[in-house]
Amino acid sequence: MHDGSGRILVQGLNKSFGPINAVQNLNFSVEPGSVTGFLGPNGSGKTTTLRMILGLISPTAGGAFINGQPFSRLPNPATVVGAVLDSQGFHPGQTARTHLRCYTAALNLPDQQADQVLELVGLSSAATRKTGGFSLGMRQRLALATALIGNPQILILDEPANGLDPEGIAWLRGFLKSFASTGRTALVSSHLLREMEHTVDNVVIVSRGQCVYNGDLDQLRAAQQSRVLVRTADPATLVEALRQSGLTAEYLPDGSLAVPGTDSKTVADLALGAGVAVHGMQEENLDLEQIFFQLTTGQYSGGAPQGPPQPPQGAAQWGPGGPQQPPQPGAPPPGTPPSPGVGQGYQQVYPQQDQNNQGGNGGYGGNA
Amino acid sequence: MNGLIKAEFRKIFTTHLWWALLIPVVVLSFLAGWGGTEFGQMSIIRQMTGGQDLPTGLLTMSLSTNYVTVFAALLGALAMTGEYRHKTATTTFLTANPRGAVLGAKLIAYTNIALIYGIANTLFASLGGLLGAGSDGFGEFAQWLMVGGAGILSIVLWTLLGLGFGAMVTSSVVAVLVLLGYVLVFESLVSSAMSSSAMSWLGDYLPGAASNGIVSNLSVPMFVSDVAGAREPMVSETAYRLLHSVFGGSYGFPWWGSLLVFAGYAAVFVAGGWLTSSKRDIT
Repeated sequence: MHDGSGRILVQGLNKSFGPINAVQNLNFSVEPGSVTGFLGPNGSGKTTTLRMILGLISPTAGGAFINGQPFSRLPNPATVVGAVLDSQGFHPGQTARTHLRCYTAALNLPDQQADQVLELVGLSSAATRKTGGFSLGMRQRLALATALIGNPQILILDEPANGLDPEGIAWLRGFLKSFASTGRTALVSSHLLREMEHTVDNVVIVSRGQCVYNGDLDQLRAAQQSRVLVRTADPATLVEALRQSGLTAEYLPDGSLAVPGTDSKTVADLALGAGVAVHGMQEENLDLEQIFFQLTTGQYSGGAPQGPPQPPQGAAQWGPGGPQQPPQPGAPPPGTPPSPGVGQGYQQVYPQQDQNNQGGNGGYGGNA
Repeated sequence: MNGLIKAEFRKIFTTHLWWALLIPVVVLSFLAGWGGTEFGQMSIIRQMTGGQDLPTGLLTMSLSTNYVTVFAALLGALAMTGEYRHKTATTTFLTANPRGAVLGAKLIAYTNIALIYGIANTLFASLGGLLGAGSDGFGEFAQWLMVGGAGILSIVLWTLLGLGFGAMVTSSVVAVLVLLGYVLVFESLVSSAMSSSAMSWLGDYLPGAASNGIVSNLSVPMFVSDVAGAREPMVSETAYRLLHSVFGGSYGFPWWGSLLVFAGYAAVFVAGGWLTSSKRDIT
């Protein structure tokens, strides 16, 4: 079943559970030959999206395609895509081997395949033990073995690092890299970028059911830059002065301002020129984890500044402080549909953000 | 499809449920067969019948069938709900397209297990009967075969009904409690409430009554004819009704009528399970 494609395409995917919009107008694609991280905080719709790709949940609108087909049209699907969605899917009375042999039978595969995947995940010695006594790490490995039993072209893992010890994570990293190096596709979700940083080539970052970044991890890393945190008595005046110099600013929950894309000297000069008292200033260099955090925070806070001072009137023109609007149906956010892939550069999707804010800083936006 | 059926057999035979539920079937069948035929030879009965033993073999076989169908229903109910309970449903559905194929494979595999249950019931009820009364009381071989075969049908249909019901509710606890509550308590309440009303005819069409009727509407007339011999046309309706009230079924209702009614229930639940499981979100 290796027809050379192995591409996953998600187009305009929506899912609501009653009043809750778990996934909103999600677009991204996953290319073969790479490990793609599917990142976002807990509750950002990752698992729902993966289950929609696998045909386990039907989308409210839009669709997900594997090799150009919806999952339900794949003949013998386990030979095309293997998935680990939770590590609990075993009958406790079955042994690792009898569990796997249920699936070799279902897929019309020789029974030796069960022992081969056990060998592959390092569980050969536990083949005859009952799964009820397995540790979380062993369950993860057995779940992976189950996903691999059909020798699939695409592997989808939901939070695979949960329950793995550092050695296990290192093993999984090597495994995924070699899996992808044979031209196959790996899509791996996680709520921790750091955990995935050295494993993945591309990332799809979701927040509140929407895609906020889809592309090359190195590009995201290159977008790292410093920003200046200023604590001032009169933020509104300082923001106005910054805006006149072409700089943007955002309110942080503690009441200070964050000014990206500049240095503290520039900000201090501007504050002096505007006659604003500065109580404190700090330069901050963002690492990848912070960028991820910035892209995905606001999920539960609603994005508006929480502490004093409140943004002055007209804040929506320059700051991120306006209420977070879901994207209008039928009006795709700027940058969609994304079409990533190594060497194509990256595209960003800022469905909730102001144009000004996107213009200058390139790498991170203002949901802090 | 063959692979999926093989997979279902492996799931069944590598876990304990199928034989754990077979144990009460075997024990109940044997005890019902033994106890029932011993009853037919008690001296008080002999006094009443003027020294004649009662040929209760077929009657007790139908009684045991109607006891053990509940275990067949539980077996079926746990077939699909077990997958949700152990969270293997996700993997199972990932290995089959469309989802209905999984249910189809289960229907075929569990029909075979139900046949084992049905045959075990017939054999052990007969064994008990042989121990209690020897080969008397089982009527003609053809009659034994008919009652035994009807019992197997009843058990298979209960398994399929349970399977469809389980596929609809997905929760094993709910499926087991609702089935037991209905079979053991609810239906008898409903039918006794209806018996004194104009709706009493409806009682024969309730699932439990219909399934009991499959075997009992065969065995009760056979028993009467065995006992009465040439006097059969003179046996009062009251005698039939009394026997039916103990052993199930109802006077004048044909066994195949009960079979059709109950097969209808099984079909409705299987279709319901099919529809709901093909559309459900597996979360």
